[in-house]
Amino acid sequence: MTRPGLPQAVSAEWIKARSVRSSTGMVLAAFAFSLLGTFLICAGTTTEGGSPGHPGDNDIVRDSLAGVWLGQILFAVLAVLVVTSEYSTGTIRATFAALPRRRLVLGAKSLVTGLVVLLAGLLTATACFLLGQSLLRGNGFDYAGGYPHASLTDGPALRAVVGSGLYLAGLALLALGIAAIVRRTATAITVVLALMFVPPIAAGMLPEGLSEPLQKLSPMAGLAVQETVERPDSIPIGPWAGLAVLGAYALGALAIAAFLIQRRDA
Amino acid sequence: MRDAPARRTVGAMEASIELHGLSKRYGTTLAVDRLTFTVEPGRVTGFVGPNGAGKSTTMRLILGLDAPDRGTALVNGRPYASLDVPLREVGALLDARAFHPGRSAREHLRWMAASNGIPRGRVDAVLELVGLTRAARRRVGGFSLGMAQRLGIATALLGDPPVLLFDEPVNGLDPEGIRWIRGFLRSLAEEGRAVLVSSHLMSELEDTADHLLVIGRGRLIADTTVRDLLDTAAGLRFSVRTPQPVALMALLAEAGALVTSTDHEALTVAGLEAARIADLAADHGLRVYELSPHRVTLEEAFMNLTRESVDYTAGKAP
Repeated sequence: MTRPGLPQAVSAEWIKARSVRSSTGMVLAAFAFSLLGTFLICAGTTTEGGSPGHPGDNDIVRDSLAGVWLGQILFAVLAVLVVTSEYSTGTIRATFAALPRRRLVLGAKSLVTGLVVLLAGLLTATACFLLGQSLLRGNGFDYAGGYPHASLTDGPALRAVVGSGLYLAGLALLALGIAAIVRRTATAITVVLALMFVPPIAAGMLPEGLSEPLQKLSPMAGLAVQETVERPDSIPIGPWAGLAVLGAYALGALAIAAFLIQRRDA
Repeated sequence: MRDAPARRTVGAMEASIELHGLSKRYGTTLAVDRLTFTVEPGRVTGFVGPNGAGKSTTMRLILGLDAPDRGTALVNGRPYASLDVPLREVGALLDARAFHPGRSAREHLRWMAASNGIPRGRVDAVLELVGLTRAARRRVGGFSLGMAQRLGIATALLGDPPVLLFDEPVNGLDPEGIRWIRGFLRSLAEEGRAVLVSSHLMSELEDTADHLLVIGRGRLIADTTVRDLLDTAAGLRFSVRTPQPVALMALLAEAGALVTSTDHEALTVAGLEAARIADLAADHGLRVYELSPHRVTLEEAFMNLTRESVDYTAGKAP
């Protein structure tokens, strides 16, 4: 009899993920929520004056992916629940009894959740992009209005869409790591949302010397990957560097979780 | 019905739980205090003590879920965390409600089986074994406590392990279910497995357990057989039936016995040998219709043992 390893742990986590309606429901809700966000932003955007204060330089790629900004909340909550629902129901004891090498559990959860969110995120971003582009074209963002025809075959647009999927996967891993550290649903969601939204809000109130590094070094710097036009409200970091910042947060949270998970009573 | 491969493992395998000086403190509460005992294969070992005595904590420590402050817990000679395929060596029912309510019984067993490389066919086998086949696809959230207990038992049996731990398995079962689990525990032990069953009610284990571990406030109070426990608790007490209770009572009390009148013709006598009681009665021309060792129930014996270690008792207003 072979000792269970990562393949067995992943297979168990995959069965867990599929067998609970709330997790499949969350993925669908995140998808729908994102499309709704894109619809609200793009349907209401006109070429007249462009985005408030910045006439003529609308980032039509980013605008179409604006829904991801909303949907990310649900993806993060989904990832939190992957861990905390086990603690709140007591399933975690069965999990750790079955796999006493608990880091395997953390690794398997990260792999399954990361890949599911990556896939769902790519689909979501693609759908948002297509919906957004068609809405924006209808609102005059076309050749006649002085805008390019954005397509998934363009380098920057493709990068924005694929990058959105990666961003959501990274965010999910950050949320999962935090959930494994704090173990309670409400606490984990609070911490994750605070990490996501406090820096951008705070940046708006701070002088530039402070707001720039804050924006650069916060998890949502990862959304810079969606930007294809240089604008005054752009996140002051490069697209891949932004994703790397988010990745560092996720890795840091998972590393702390891996350290704690083997040491604490279940 | 046990399927064919289910019989295979047990005989050849080691089957034991050994605790050596196991201690665990939560905050200021010493939950488990230097516990040392061995659970042997081939018999049902009852693990009894009042609520809060440390039974569940001990089981969590055995399963490596909580880490002991001192001492060791070995399963089949090894610490739980170093077992190769844990579910094939130890099966446990801890908390009957510890399932995700949105998951079906079958899916719960399926992920557990997958985690230890146990063939999928075993899932349906254990569902059948505990009588949950028809509820297999229902969500666990809608289960009665009795059904949840059965699912917990199914999870314990999933890997067909030689060592089994059941924490209060009788809770929530109906009378038919209680009969079923008693027979079931016995048959598991007869197959050569080491079976540890906890309960806060001694009576639940009276006909089931061969061996008893009595625990109170985290300490081992008795490590004994059911027979020995009853004998010790009965002590030197006798039931005496006589048509002259008042006279006999006075006589025996004078001889140094502690006598209580239990019925209008019956006395309970402590502190004198049976022969001495009979002689005294005969010497004074008193009739004795019956003289027999006083029978104590297992529950009484248990109460005597644990009285001092019960943390909370009813009716003791400050």
